[in-house]
Amino acid sequence: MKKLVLGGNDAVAYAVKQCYVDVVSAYPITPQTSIIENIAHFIAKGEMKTRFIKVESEHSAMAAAIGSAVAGSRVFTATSSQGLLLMHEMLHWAAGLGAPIVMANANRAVAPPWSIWADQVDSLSQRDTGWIQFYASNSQDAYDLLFLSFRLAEKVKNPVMVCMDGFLVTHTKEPVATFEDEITDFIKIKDTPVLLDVDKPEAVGALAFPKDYMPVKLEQIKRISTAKEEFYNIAKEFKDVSKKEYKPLYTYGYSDADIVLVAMGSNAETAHLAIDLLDKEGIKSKLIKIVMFRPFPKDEFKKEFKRVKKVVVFDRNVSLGKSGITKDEIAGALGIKNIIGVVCGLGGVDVTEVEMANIAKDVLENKIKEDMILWGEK
Amino acid sequence: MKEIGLHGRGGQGVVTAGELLANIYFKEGYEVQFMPSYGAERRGSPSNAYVRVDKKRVLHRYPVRIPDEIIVLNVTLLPDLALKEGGIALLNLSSDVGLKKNDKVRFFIVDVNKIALECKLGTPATPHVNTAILGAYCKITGNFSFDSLKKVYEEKLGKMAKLNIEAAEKAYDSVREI
Amino acid sequence: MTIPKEEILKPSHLACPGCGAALAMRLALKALGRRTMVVISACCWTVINGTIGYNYSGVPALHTAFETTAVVAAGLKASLEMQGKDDITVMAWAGDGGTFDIGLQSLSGAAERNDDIIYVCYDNEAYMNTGIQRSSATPIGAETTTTPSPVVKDRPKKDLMEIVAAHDVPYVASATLAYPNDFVKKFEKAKSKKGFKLIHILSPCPPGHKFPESKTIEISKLAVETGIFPLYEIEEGKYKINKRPKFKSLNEYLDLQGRFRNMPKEKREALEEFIRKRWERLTIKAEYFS
Repeated sequence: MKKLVLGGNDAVAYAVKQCYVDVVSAYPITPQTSIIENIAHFIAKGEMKTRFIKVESEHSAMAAAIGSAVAGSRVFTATSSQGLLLMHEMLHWAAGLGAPIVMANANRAVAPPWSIWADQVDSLSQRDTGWIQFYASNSQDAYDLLFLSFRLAEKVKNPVMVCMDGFLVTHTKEPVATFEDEITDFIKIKDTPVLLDVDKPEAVGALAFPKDYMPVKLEQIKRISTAKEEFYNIAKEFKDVSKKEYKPLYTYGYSDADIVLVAMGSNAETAHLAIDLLDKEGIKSKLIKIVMFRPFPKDEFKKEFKRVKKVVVFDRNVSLGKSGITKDEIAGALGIKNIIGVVCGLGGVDVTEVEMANIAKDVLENKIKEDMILWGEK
Repeated sequence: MKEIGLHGRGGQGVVTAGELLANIYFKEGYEVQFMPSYGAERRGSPSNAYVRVDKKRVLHRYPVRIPDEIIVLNVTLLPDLALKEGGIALLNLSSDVGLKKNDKVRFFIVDVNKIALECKLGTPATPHVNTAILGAYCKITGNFSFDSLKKVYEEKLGKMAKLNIEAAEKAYDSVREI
Repeated sequence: MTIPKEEILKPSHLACPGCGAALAMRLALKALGRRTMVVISACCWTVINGTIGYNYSGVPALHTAFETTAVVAAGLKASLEMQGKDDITVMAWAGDGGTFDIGLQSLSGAAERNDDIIYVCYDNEAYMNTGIQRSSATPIGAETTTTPSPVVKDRPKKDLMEIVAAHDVPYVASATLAYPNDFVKKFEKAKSKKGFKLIHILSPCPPGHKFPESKTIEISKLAVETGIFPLYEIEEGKYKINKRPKFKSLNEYLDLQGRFRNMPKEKREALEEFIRKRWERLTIKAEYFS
């Protein structure tokens, strides 16, 4: 292992370089661009043997990735915000065909008004496309999740998206433990599907009448629902090499907490500090950080919520007309009542540990009884 | 935890300065975080970057609000900058004429525009002052050895390392408190 | 030259009788052989190739979204190359809607990158799979469900060949079913060249163009002979007109097809004028760049 000071984007590109990727197809968009710039440099310097298809749009980035993946190549792409939205149609194609593409997404607000800053509505509004979704809170997560994602995608034949909050994770640099040769055995062997074969000419993605459509979808449902178990298996293998443990939900703080704070992405990082602040005031609290959002870790949430009286969920995203998206998902999946959703930090607005701790206290004291939006003079 | 703000205008190399500074502290065994504050990429507009240095991992995911130390590459920005009481302000300035002093913060000045041009870094319109000023920062804070700075420059700047180290040395020697 | 005897396209495919698109695939695959993969975007061929579990094309077929034919083919080719399967030909197969309209952007991208694929547009001059709506390949004066009489199509068809040729690609050619030797030769030539190749095929559609299913070849021939569909190729920037028409009366072509039944006189004149101008340009180019 070697420690380097890397941003989330640097970490992702560095991981891609080490993951024996055959084909990259991508299009620039802030704040993702430095990923593909890094990759282009690695290729130019001969450090990576990868074909980089420089496409004319994100829609085409995903389309080329699909063409490459179904013929057996290991494929990577990256995007953000508007680009991810443009890809939407092809995200369904990738998942539907079982193409094990790995994509990094820099979470960025969606226009209008134009914004390049952190907001998770871009990837969360792709939640029904059939992609496995991970959220990295820091550069180390981003780096490690790339290795895990290639293995998982190929194991379950399902594409994987690794999301990072724009700038707050993508461009924030910090020490990252990177692999040298010790990771080779874990990542080198590919388990990519070969759906097109001239010696066995079959059609992929053909028209299905209703009676044929459902069975295909059932298979897809089965595929993604095995992803969580397979993630545990692969993460165990990864731990043997990296000494780092990855689980669908990461926790920090007291197991017998009076209040649980749930966060995803960069908010989860700051929330550690809120837990420490509450601790200083004698309040036992716990952080649940969502690492895997799809498939949704329902059982894990159930376990973590046992005996918990209050839950507050911080969402750097919003489902307009409803609530923060992860709050809605958690409440919907678990049917718990004492759960307060906080929509905050849209379009890159700061969210601090003090704000988080104050809200947690107000929830505990019943001063906050309903979902709220965190906004005011900063 | 120490929080450092780096402030300049697009083209002066604020982001690179921040990244180099984080790497120097990292070399000295600290946990670091470098957080550039991004807008649209444009020359001349204000550019801010922040470095946090601590013994344990840095978890804050928002820019520094009130830094302990500021490194100011363009003093026209000074009126809008925050700094903690007792903090240090390192300014790219040739003389203290017109500088409003106060007893709450310590001011240091160094003429890195001149040094950069002497070392052939950048052009008269946009001298690359970012590497020189870290030499001055090293001197006034004493937070890391000049040797660590040198090593990081050698690792990160390749062929340009020599000139940049020379500039940092000159700034190290010429920075003064006012 | 002879047309290869081997039939790769399977006979029980789901095309309408007299379908130009089915005949086009048959000839194309004869020329390209079994070590070919085809990418099919949303078009009549989505249906013709059979429902799930079937593949009448006879070669590996990848169905994809409407606007992605060229780029999916490019990704597929890159993947095969990375695996050392360089000898496999990748053919992108799309209709005129998928080429002239919704797929033009990704087509342009692949052409600009000079991706090593053969892009085939089988052009039936309207959205036939959704039931005859106008596309930008629909000729002046044609009636469709979205250009119903008397508001027939009033703008000329896009010049696909010239659009693609403007990307400086190695090979661009047009072909029709009426000249199968020329057709097969062009596919063989395309296969032998590295880089981006486009073949534009006029694909008469009996239900869409409203003519008897036995007339597909005759209409293809008349299209060339009247000059409405020039048969030519642009190889490494050099123009070659493969069949110089005697410019038979356009009415012979139009009157065979119900889609032109309600064509007002001024539209006929406009179409004739369009054809005349196009040939003028083409002739100059063929003389200048030969």
